[in-house]
Amino acid sequence: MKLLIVEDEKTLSDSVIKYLGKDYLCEQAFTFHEAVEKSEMYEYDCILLDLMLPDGNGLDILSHIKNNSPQAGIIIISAKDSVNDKVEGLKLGADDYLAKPFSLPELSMRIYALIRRKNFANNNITKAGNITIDLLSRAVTVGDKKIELTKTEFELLLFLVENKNKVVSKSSMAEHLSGDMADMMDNYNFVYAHIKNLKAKLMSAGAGDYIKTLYGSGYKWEEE
Amino acid sequence: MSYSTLRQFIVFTVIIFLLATPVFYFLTRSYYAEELMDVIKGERIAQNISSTDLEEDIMTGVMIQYAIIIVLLGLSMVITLKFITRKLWNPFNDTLTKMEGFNLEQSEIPVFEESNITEFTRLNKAVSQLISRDKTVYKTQKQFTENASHELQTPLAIVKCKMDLLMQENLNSKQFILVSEIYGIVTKMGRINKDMLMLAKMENSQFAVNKTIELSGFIRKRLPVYNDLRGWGKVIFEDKSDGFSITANESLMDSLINNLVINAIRNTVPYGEIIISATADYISISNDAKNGPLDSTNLFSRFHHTADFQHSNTGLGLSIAKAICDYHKWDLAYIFSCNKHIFTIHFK
Repeated sequence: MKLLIVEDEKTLSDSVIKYLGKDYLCEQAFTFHEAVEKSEMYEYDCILLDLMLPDGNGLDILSHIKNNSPQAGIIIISAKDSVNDKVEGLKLGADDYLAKPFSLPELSMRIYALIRRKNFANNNITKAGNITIDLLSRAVTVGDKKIELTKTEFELLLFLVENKNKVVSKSSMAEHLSGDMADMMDNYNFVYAHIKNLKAKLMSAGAGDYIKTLYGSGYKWEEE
Repeated sequence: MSYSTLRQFIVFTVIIFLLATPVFYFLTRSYYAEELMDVIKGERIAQNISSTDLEEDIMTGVMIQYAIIIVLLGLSMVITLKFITRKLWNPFNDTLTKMEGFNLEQSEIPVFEESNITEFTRLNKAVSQLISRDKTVYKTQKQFTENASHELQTPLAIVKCKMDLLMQENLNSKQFILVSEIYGIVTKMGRINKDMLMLAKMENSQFAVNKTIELSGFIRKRLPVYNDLRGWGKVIFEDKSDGFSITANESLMDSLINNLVINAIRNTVPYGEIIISATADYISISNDAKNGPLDSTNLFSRFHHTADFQHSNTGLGLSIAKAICDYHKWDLAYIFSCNKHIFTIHFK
């Protein structure tokens, strides 16, 4: 899967590539012109777009890119966190909006969800170890045993599975569940409560012990 | 032209009229009719004509003329003042109306009517300059606060991403915990930045209070997330609002309720009670207390920390809640009752 990262802050752009580099083919654009050029020359599956570029207004870029790469999913990443930008962006054809600062696991999850929506409309099944997840019906089966998960538990399961073999902080899990509100909390122990329940349900249905806890502050999905 | 001015004018005219009458009488006697009366006196002596009438006649005639002149003058003055000045003052009224309707955040700079009267032209020019200067300052300030916030968010975003990457390295427990703690602090910085931006925007009146929000649906929509954040225990909603809706700014309303509920979540024991209650007059959020009542004197001031709220509290949450209530002209009150902290937003 090909990814274009349109972000003028090189350090940020590089960090994203470091995290996603193994899963996607990534390219970078640091200016409006580079972005337009690249989107004209190649076909991307997903484009991350920062609205505040030095040589152009992000919303203009959005229209350009939409024209050059109509098949690409577009996620706007913006420091402005302005409701107007969000509404305008979605109106102009962006598929998702993520405010800075974001966590890399969250970004990864959004890209994954977007590409799934665009490319695998018919295939909604994800396998992880001996667990099968049907994304559309939200049914989770271990082997052939169906398990009942709450909405929260399901979201956390997907989040971990999608970021498999990567360490995910409790903080990013909290953000995934509660968005903007997470940073108002003073601890993320509530995440522990949900993970505990999720683990219990998975284990009792015979799933492998895939959710590893790291020093009480992070989690990792490992399938050996 | 106001009625008091008219009354004043009439009273004034009548007084002048009365004062001037003896003057006019003597003038007439000494000049206008003097010789005529002498002639008639002379004739009277010669021909025995009854004469008393003539003096009176002349006097009366002249007084009548006098009265007519006064009335005509007065009338023409009233008409002039009433109708012509109305037309004269139109541009001024127009300027005044435009100034009254002007709002720094929303309006374009008004264009004032042309006028041949120098004073009005001067006024319009001065007001236009004042408004455009104000607007420029406002715009600059707005840009500055938004840019400052944005500038800070970018390095924060970088640190966050670097932390995410650092976590992937094989860290031992000490290192991992340190990284998590730094992550937490960086997140808190991001929150403070967002909060300060919101406070600045409120001070600049940048939020329009124009959305009709139905309380019941608004709170219900957020209940699942609140319950997620609770982890151990629930957040209960007592809906007595009966479909009541309020006019507010949606983002501010969001922030207000979130702040109060999350405040309650942070400060309640696991499985303690948290209740959101909504009626047509108020929304209240109550939670079981851990350590007795809060010190209400400085509760809403910025960066205030209390014993109960000390862990990683940014200190801005309650200030923001208060500021949002003030913005909407609502009242935010805190009471301690039955070992519960109760925050109430009163709408009237």
